Amino acid sequence: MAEELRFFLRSALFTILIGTIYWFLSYEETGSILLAGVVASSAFFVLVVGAAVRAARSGRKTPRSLLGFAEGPEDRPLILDEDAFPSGSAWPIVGSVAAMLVGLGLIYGGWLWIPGAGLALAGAWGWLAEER
Amino acid sequence: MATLDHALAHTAPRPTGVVGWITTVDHKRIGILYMITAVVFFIASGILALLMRAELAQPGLQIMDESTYNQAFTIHGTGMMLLFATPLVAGFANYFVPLHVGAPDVAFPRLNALTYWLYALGGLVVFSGFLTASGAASFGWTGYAPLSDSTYTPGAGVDLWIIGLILVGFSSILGAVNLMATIFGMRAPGMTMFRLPIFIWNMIVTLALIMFSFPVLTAALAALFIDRNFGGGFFDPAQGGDPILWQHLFWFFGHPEVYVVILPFFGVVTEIIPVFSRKPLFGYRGFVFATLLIGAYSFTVWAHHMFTTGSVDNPFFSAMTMLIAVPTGVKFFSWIATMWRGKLRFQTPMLFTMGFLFMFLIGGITGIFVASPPIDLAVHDTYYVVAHMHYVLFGGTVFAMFAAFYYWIPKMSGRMMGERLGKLHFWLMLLGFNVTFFPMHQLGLDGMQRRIPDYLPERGFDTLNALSTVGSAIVAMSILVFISNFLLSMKKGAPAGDDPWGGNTLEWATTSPPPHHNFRSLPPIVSERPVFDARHGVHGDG
Repeated sequence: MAEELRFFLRSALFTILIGTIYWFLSYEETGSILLAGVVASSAFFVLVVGAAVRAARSGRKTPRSLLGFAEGPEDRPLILDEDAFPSGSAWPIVGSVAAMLVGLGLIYGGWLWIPGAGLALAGAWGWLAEER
Repeated sequence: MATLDHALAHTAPRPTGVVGWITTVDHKRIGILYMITAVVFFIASGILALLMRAELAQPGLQIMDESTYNQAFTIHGTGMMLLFATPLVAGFANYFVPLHVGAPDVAFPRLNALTYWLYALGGLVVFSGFLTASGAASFGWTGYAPLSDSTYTPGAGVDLWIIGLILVGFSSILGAVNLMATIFGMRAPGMTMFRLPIFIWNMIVTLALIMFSFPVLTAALAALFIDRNFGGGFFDPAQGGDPILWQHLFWFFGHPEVYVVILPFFGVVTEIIPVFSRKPLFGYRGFVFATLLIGAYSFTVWAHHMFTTGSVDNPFFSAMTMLIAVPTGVKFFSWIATMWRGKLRFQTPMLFTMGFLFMFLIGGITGIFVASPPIDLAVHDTYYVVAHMHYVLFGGTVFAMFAAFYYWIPKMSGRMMGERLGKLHFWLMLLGFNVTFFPMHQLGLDGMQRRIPDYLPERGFDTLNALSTVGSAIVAMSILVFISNFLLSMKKGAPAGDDPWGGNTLEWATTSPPPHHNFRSLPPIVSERPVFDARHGVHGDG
């Protein structure tokens, strides 16, 4: 089993054990639910990482190859597709400003959501449309 | 397919100047942005601390009223924990995780830029509370209900604190997912999980803690905002809510957060000690499993912050808290055994590492005391806890941060930091830190409460408070020495070369600073210290 998978599996099993002990010692609901949340999150990552490991072993693309890197003979030098590296992008900062405006709109009034939503849409469109 | 040089030559030209930095998606530049911004928040929060120490130097109100003092300690705590320490971790991780695992960048470069900007803007939103008519948030960084409800702390400053921290929370979660994907999915060929540098193992656990704990904080902040603005009643008993619920939610995030800001620095000093001892790390696998255990235990101790509420299972949380000392002790033994009979070099990174070991040890030992409910009941909310916390977080995180700066700035900049000023910085900081915080143990045992701007002259707190204030000024001087050293070194520092320390990990296999996308070639990876192996012609495990 891949160590990446074991990492989250251990997390889930440990928290199940501790959570069970905690519940029967305290019958305290909030903490028990939070510990159950850690178990659920760990289990989610077991599924996600498990899928990634299976994909990697079956030769499908992994994040490394998705970014354009592949390994040459004897693993070096590194080789990559010509268009692999993203150049700069303004859309992340546009998206962040949008998120901030939406948040500030909750305090200072919904009128801030108009520029916030506009920037969010522009940011999402620009990000997705960006070639590299 | 083409060679790396050919491909780089065909990559679209990157914007330069300010536009280049604002639009960058290069993990190294984003790492530097994180570090600079975190240090700016460190200085801003540190100035608030200096103002508080000046206020407490003698009895009476000297330079600020109670309300301003409340705002100062709230934003000081928030700033240091969530706008300095955690993002500083993100800064080091951004710069060095891809380098350590032999990757050209992080898995999702644009997402990486988004996380930085969410953090920077969120931090500004938090601090902008000072500009509002009612002032900034003023209930302590812990935001306890009902102090944080709209009855006791009305005004936009608190809402700005909440919204700013929600932005920071999203930034942390997205950043953690990105870096975890980078470590799991983009390691260089040959780098198995048990050949990962110890810094990376500490980062893996840290990232998991962030992914499991920050959603709890973010959700709790959203609930608090709803309570304050839309009559939610989550934490209001009059509406069927429970103020203790906030404490559970906050500390379920808050205690793992302590490890979020300390585990990466355990990783940093664990990289530094073998290099400056000229020995391999003692007990690599034991160290890894100790890190995993610390991470796991950190989710089982949250309510030791709530012993005095009378509504939690004190023996359970006391026992679990004391258990954490065991894997931490394993780490200390690994560090000591690594240095044992090594050829030690006490250059500035190693000096700060030594400072970290001793100061964090004091913080850890006082932590064992307050893990005992009877003792905690006596010293809860006193300066004893303030001293303990600062020995852990300042003695741990800040000393290790400077160790990391002196160790890695040559890699990031291509220039060495000045040794003489570095050593002056270390000794001044060690002196100032202990003069500031050690007397607080006694102040706490004498019964001085935290979070008060004034005390009666007849309580006998004045001498130790004055001493503590002098210490804080020495710490501030030491920071100025560091800034001077940095500026001078960037201008006139000796060239660093690729590997000035004789390092072990992959960042030392590339130029200083590294090229865009990091490596033109990689050495074979047959152990957790590939650069050492390449230097000494080792070709197999061990």
